[in-house]
Amino acid sequence: MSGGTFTDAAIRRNPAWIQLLGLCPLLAVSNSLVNATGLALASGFVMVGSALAISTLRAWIPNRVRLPCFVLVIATFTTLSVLLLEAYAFELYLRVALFVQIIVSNCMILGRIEAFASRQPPWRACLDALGTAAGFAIALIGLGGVREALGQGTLLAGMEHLFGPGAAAWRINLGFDSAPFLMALLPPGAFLIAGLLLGLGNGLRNRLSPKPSLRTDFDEHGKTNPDIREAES
Amino acid sequence: MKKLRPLLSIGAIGLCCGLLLAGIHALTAPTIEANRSRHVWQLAYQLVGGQFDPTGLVWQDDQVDLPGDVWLKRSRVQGYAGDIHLLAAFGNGGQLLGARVAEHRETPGLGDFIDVDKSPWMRRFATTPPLEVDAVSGATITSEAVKRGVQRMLEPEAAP
Repeated sequence: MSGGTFTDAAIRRNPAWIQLLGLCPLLAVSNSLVNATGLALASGFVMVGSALAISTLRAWIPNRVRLPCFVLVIATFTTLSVLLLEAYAFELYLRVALFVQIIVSNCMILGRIEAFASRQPPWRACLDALGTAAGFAIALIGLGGVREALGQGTLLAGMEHLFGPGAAAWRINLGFDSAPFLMALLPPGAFLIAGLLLGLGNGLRNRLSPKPSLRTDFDEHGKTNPDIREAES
Repeated sequence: MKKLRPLLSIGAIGLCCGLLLAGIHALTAPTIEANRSRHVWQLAYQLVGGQFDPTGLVWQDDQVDLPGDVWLKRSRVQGYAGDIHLLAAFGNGGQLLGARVAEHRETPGLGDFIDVDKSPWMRRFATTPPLEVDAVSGATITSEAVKRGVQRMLEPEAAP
């Protein structure tokens, strides 16, 4: 069951590709792998931290003021991630800071907290948050990789800003003389490539499962509601 | 008492969050300060076209004298989404050598052209009088704020 919570959150209900949440930072920051990884880590930190905190405190949060409490906790973790980035990854902070600050308004995080973490014990909330964060990271890093390869002709360039000087050697040159497809780095490229990846994902899923499910009719346990499925078939 | 309960809960959670933030802030503040000042010196190297040793240089009244007939000024202006921190270099008895933005919170994609890593726009201040630099459409408030800020550093008395 626990494995189901994680994979459900990461793959079957992937926040970016299935639920289409958090697209603003996703499209804006994914122009290279290092930026995408940085935002994925920061979002994951905020997601897991606030899910754990809310789930632990859920008995003491009165229903009427639950949303202000959630936002308070999410804002705290967002500010923490900004402070930590600015102190220990300053180069990356200069590039992604504006987007890390708006994690606080990412509906993906508030949505998972309201629908799941505030009603579940900490270990399940943590698994679901990890899954959601992993799903967002998969989307970000996938898009970042494709855009960096097409737009810059490199992979993993600038990773030293995130993982220290040793990571400078990770850079892979794909062997183009100049940028092969500059538009991939620019905003229109983000939309085009995200749309193509989304279509590819949908196509694959249709091919793999005879009954494609694009629905988000899951209940608070993160499982698809069997009643709705049966009523339809 | 029952009516006060939501208030008490949100107050307690707020207090915990505040304490956590204060603690982490105290822990990271020295590192962040060092990072920021290193960043400002790197922008200054770009402005004066060469490295110098920043140890021992102290900001006084938002101004610092560099070796030679060169000095730096810094200031803040109100941008579209918060303060814009400006840095400018002067030489040859008061001529503007160039200007950079050290810190800002302008809208990503629209107002962040004032960051010299994203757009060469700030380089125009090296050759054009600040008020004659073209504003960027879609970000008039940001452009005008930077232009006014640089002008004020150039002529502190005359600027509006």
